[in-house]
Amino acid sequence: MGQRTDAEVAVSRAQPGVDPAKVEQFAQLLAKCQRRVFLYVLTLVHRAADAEEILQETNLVLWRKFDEYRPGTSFERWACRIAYFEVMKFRQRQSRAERLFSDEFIEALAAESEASESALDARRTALADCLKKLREADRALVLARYRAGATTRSVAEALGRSIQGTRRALHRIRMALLSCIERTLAAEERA
Amino acid sequence: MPVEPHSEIAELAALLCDGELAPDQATRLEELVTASAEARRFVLQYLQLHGELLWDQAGEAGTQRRWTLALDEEFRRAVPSDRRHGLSRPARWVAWAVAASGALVLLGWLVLAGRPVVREGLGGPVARVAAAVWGEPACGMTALPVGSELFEGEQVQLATGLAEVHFANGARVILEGPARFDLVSRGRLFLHEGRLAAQVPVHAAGFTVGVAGALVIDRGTEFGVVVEPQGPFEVHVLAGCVDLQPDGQNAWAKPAAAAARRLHTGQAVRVVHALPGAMPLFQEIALREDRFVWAMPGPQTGSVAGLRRMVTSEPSLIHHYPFEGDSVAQRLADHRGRLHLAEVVMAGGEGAGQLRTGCRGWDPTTRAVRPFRGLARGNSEGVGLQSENLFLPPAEMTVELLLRLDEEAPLDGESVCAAATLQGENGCAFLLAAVGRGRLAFRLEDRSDWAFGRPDSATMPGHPGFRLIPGDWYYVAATFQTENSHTLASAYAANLSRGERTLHTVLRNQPLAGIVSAGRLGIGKGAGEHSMHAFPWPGELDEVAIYGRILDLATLQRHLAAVLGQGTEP
Repeated sequence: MGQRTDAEVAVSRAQPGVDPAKVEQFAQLLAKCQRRVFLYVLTLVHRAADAEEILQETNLVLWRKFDEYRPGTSFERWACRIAYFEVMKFRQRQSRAERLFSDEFIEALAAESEASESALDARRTALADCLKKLREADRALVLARYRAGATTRSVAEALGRSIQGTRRALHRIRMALLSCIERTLAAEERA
Repeated sequence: MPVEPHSEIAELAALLCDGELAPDQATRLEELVTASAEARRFVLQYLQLHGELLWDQAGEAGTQRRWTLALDEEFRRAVPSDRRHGLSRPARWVAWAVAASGALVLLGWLVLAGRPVVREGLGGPVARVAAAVWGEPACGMTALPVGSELFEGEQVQLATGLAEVHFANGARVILEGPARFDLVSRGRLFLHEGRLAAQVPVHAAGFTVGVAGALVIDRGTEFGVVVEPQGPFEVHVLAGCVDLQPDGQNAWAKPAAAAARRLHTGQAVRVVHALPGAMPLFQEIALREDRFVWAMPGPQTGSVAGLRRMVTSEPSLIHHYPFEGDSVAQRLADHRGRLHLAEVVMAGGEGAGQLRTGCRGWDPTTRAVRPFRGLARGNSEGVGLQSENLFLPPAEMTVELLLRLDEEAPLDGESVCAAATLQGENGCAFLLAAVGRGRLAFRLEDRSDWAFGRPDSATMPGHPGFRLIPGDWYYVAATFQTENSHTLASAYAANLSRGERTLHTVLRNQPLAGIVSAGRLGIGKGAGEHSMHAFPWPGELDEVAIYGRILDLATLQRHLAAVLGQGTEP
């Protein structure tokens, strides 16, 4: 038997109260879309902690509304749509000062994000290759910055570097990664 | 055309990812994105890259686990409670709550009705839960009974409370919630977050606690480890010695090359950040033995969890804010009524800073909430809590809570508010405040004088007023009885940090002008714009309970006893 995912573990606890086939189907669909929904939400709310909270809420809504999902259609797209409404609810709970952007701006980003869905897998594969090509010091910096709970400030303090310098270095690396992804995709297209 | 790294749009996108984008920069970014499809695409790709990296490095261990727990809570509601736990016993100290989510290894098991239902892919048993005290069945938690075996490769989450785990090699560890750890082997665990106290006999020397980027290797000793949510960790050596060395296990890192640093009895270090493969940079700090629990509490020991159970069993309870739960929304919810709380900026304020939930409370069985107040600019940078709906105070009412003032709180000449009702922008009834140097104070009308709590004449003769000692935790209760146009108020308090097991009567049937006004309920938040200012509470608040009747002194004394336990008289 293969390894079980978190989703399967979680829903297996529910077996005394729900239809096992429905649980199994939901678990499989949910496990596959988590990364995508997280990315989608993050692009709209920008803060990782907020995105995680909204992801949780979205997952609960997905389960509650699972009977409304039409098999054969894209679960991922349906999940992102529900996530969009959760983002809007989240924004309503925020104070005006916390809302940096207008609803129109968020809608524009959401539409752009939905349009980019098909390219995400290829970009992710390219990113994995590009990370390997980074200089060792740059790779270590990315690793330090993106570990759980780290911030640019905490990494700067740990390295004894200025925050500005660390921020610039991270920006330079991100730009290099974006450029590398574009080159990789262009090369694949030519091949 | 590719976007240049130093272009305006690129710089703004970077600031956005770093959480440093100012409002005027946000406006500019919005203009650029709205005006150009290319800019829009670039910002999206930049954010997606940021997200991919976040998910890769933290998501597998963090995000996925958390959503699993949230999801589990939903199922928990659907499953009858007797089938869900199957562990309830009459005694107070019988079980503990853990989440056994698969997380990193994507595997796991759970206990339902006291026996394993699913367990695949894990190694053999490496440890055992020897004892536990628990708070409440936390959201999404699957109960795990004392005596349960823990398996190699398993991850365990302790929401609140204490758990004593005995490893197969003889090491004994007391973990304090909230904590999350992996069972790595019969002599090793990995602590993601939380605090532990380890007692390792000589024959178990070599017992290892892994933390992000470093290993703490025992050489036959007693030591404590704290891993904070943001990553810094501390090691405190009570007796013997431990080696602190880099952990080079990360796939991206080189093998550990630097030598270990040996720490001896009485030494403690703090590591802000440890990079894999490199010796952690640390600073020596003072040993804090009191930060760890070295022995499990006995049956006579009280806890906030015990108070919570007593509070929820009180029929007259109308609103209850234990500030517990996995999400911020759950932590700010009214657990008895529908008067849920929301974060609000102080009147006239700018909203800088953030209110914190999930803070360390009086003991390991609870989490507290902490309003924000700017030290320099007081009320202009304050964030507190306020009910979303109107609070309609009953004619008889008791307000009860636990609170702590910061040691560095700027108290001179200031009023700080723990609980209030806010009547629009024009009035505020202070159900509990501290005025100037921490004197407990009450006032129901804007223009009336503060009523200051008096200490018992027997215990503190000549004392000018009951003062809260900054840094200490208190149990406080106040009762209000409306009589025509005035209110009779009584108040009681006890210093938990100093083990005061008898309540001080600090106010007894004191007539206060006015009545408790209907309005939004403020927790850690004070007045409206035309009323005297009250700054946000500078410290923690916890277990706020409002009852629709006057609880008598004997009942409140029992509540205090639930927190502190019966104790033994000297």
